Amino acid sequence: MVESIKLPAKIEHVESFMHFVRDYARDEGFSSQRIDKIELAIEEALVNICRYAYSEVKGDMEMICRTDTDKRLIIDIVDAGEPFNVLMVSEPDLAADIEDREIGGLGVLFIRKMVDDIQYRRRNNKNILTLILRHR
Amino acid sequence: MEVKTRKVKDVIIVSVAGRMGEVTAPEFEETMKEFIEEGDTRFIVNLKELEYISSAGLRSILATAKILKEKNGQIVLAGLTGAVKEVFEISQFVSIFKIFNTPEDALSEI
Repeated sequence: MVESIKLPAKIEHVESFMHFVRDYARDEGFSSQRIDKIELAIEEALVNICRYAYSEVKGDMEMICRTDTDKRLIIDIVDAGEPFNVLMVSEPDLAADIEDREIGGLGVLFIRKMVDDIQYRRRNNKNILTLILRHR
Repeated sequence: MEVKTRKVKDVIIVSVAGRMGEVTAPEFEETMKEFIEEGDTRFIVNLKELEYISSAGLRSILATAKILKEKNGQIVLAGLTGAVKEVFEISQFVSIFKIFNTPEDALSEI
């Protein structure tokens, strides 16, 4: 079954999306360990949209959840903000000490590490980030 | 998220429970700032009851550590488990913070 949620891209709405994806993944039989990973990836992706894609103009963010024939969870996250490809963001320097450690960059690292596959495309002036998770 | 604090000699033990994400992490940072403004500089952050942490949570811990570094203070962590531990490993925060099994272990070392 395909389920979706769409709300204005504001930090205060991020938790609604997390509840939504948690319920969806639970209904599809994903383990709580897998759901932890999904939630983290979703929070990081949505916060990036609120902060960067819509830094100038305001708009909506939408999440569409479905499963494919291999029972993988496919999550499309769509926004109409500035082009923002998380796959192009360079990894933070993980070897730096407290003084030199950058505050940013970790969110994208978590998105990449939490999911099995990640795809980005820009279509009709929209960013579409697809996160794919197996049951494991 | 729930933040509980207690003081043992000159060390503040901060226990964080629940979820530490984009919306809740600033609350942790604020609590820490208040202690630092009062002159406290030695902290043990107990994450045993923490179920979830995102980059926002790590950011608030790192920001606090940076302030304490300037004041020759110290912040160590205890009780990392499950998904929270994994996040600390992926981000390599395990190599920039001293981490103990329990707050009691930390107390005897710092």
